[in-house]
Amino acid sequence: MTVSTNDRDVPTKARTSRTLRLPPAFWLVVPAVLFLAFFFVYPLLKLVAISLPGGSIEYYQQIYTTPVFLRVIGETFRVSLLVTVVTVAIAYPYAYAMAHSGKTTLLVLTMALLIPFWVSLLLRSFSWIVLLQNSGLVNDLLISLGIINKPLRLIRTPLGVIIGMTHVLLPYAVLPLYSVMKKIDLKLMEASAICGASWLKGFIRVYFPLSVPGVMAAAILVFTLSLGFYITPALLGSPRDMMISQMIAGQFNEQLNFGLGSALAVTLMLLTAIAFGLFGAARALFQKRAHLAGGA
Amino acid sequence: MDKLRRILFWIIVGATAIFLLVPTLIIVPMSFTTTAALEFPPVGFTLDWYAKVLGAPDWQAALVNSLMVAIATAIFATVIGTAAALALHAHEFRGKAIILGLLLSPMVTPLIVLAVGMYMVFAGWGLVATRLGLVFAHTVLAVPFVVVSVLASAKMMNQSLVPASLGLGASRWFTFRRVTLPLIMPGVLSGAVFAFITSWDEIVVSMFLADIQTRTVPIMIWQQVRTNLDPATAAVAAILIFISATGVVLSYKIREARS
Amino acid sequence: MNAALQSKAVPALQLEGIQKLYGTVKALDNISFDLRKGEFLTMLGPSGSGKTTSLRVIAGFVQPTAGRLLIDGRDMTDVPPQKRNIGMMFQDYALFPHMTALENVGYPLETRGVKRAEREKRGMEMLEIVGLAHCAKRYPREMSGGQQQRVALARALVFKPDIVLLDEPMAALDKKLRGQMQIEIMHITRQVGATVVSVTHDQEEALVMSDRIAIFKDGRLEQIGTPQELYQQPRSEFVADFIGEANLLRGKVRHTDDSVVVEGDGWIASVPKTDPRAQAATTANACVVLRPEQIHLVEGGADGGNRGEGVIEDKIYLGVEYRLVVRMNDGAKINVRSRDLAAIAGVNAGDRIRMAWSASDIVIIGA
Repeated sequence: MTVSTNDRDVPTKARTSRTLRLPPAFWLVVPAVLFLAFFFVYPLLKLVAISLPGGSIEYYQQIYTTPVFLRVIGETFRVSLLVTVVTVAIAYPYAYAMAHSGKTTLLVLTMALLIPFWVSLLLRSFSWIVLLQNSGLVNDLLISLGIINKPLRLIRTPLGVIIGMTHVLLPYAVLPLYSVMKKIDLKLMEASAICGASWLKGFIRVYFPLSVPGVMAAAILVFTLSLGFYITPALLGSPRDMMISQMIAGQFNEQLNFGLGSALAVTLMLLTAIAFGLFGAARALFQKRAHLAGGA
Repeated sequence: MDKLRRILFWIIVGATAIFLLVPTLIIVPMSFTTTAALEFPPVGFTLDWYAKVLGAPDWQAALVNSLMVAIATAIFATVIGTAAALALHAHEFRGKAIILGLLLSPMVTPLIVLAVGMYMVFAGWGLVATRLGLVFAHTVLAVPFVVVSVLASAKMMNQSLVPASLGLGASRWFTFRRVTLPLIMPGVLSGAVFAFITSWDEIVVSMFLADIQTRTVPIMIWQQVRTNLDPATAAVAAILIFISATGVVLSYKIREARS
Repeated sequence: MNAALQSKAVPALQLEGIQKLYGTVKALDNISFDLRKGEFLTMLGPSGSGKTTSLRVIAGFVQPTAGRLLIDGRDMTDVPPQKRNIGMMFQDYALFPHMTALENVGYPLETRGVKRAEREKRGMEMLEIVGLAHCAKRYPREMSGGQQQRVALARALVFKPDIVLLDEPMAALDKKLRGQMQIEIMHITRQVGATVVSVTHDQEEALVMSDRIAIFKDGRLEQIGTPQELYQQPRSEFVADFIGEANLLRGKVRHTDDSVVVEGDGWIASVPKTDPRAQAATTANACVVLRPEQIHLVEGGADGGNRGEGVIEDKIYLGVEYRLVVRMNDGAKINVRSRDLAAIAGVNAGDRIRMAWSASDIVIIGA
């Protein structure tokens, strides 16, 4: 039996020189690709098709002219933006602590970050309901500390949604920040100090600029994911301030308006794709800068 | 000034860690409360809620559904995902990046979009309200995890081993079975565990594809949460957390043992 | 340099009894020395000897457990690094990767409130001095190791600091570049009149660049002096061995009417009683330090108080000289370096030879 010493077997059929030489093992990828084509890509395409009955853009027109829908889209953006700002702001010091501390601290912080990951989103949102309800822990704490007299209304509010979403998205913000910060040599802060800069000046002029690629990556990732959130706003928010995903669900479940629902879904898909595209572009841009700016 | 800054910093970080952990950690204690409503801290200690949940036919049915679907998903996703990952790892070809992108894109697609899309398509195929439909849907979500996990394992493998084995006269299948597979096993097993957990916890897509007969545990929880919030739900949640945690610890141990 | 004027001036740097404890570990034990303005001092020693810790104490990154630090006569012990007006060149340069060479060099001026135009002007001047004016707009990533080093040096010097610290300046360079940069940096710092404290474990680097060298061992200052003083008058076996090559002959002390003798199996060394070095031989045992080039081969039975014999183990030709590894009677091995090609030509490995040296060359270290 002949033995090939590299993985590329030449196909036995005669081919032109331009043909791809596909080694047999390549075909291993086909089942997964086919599967996803049928059960993933096709459903998405189907949505597009349903949203454009006979090529008509009436549903899209409906969306972009009806105040309710525009409000929902706007609300989704607003909440996503807020969540992004809050999440990244909280994630920054946390990621810094992880990046520049000893092994034990890193371990503890990592566990605290990842343990929630393992508990399903549904359960965590459920947990927040219990914590934020009028008789819940948060209100109890605030009342016992004397900060308020009566329980604050926290669930079924945008605030509750933001808290819940921030909680879920925090790891997604911390990890990109951490991976960038890890590469920042704290000796640079020492150098800044010996050059006469106060800690604050050093942070603004040296550390923060070097961490910006991480900030961008975290922000766009969190924003992208926020757009599509369903469970958390559904459980913690009020119907008045619903997000796109809830609207889509409503169209399908209650209104049975599949055309409109699909149009909304496609809109969400597009927004997500654009946000994600920005992610990729920002990353490439900062990758270049980082190459320029790579540590000595 | 310096000291003050340090203290403030660690207070913020500590508060964040607490913020991260508390919602996860309170579920289990809550499930032991004797009160009829969810309380934290729990009042008293009882396992009644667990008994209620495990004894209730609808919860039991849901558990069976969840288990069957998750196991099937794990197997299916692991097989096609591993195959795909190996193909991607071993060969360069045009469009490799696109295929990898395709395989990973379920991770970044909004679940609600996937849910409604699948619903519309599966309805036409008679897959709605079937466990098989759920398996297909969950597999779509699980495949990216398997691919990432196996690719990571494959990258860590010594790349000269396969050519060496082939050079010694072994067939491709033999090489795969005796060289490649054992070495990527941590990644495969990890991926399988992730696939299982993904299916086990899946709610959004399942909501649209399941009916009363085929509903899974997360769907039951969802329905409970919206209608009747009692400690039984916490008990179920605790069980789920336990299984998830076991799964993660398992996958960690697998990694450790094999590395 | 007006030596008289110098000695009256306030020292640029003074360390008084600096101690640093990490738990119970004494990283620094009673470090004290002065540094004159314009002087180049190298702190030399093996890893863990305390030299780097001392440097960081001077910089202000490490707070001493006890002792004082004065710069230009002012107590700076509790002053943070920002306010010490010290320039520092880090081991891997610590250049800000997102700033150009010019911006890096201008940074200490920026923190001192100098306006942009002025900063750029002074920055360019500094870059000219280090020979990198053409790299002003480049980022660190776009420069070679040697260029980065010079930018780092320029950044440390641009604001005319009281003291400049160099942390293992040559460590990141390849061997070829090192020799060249040692001399260049020495010239540059002299040109701007900087007072320099450098840290290294490379004794050759210390010898090339420094006015004085401070030898560190286990957190203590073993000896401080000019390269000549350390080489010719080491006060401990450690220093003798660390600077240059040394043969350490350990023997017993004996006093005669007019001299002090140290002798061992097959060798003897002596100095007149009136010689100051006789003071070191107060103990029963002593160590005689002989440099390889100070030992000469002699014919016949040499008399005199400074001679020895042994068997050649290896004869190594090094082009510029011969190196002989000689085994003494007691088994100890010494090195002899000789450029007396005629004398060496006649001997070979395995031969027993006689050696002699001059009384004025030896160093005696009490045991």
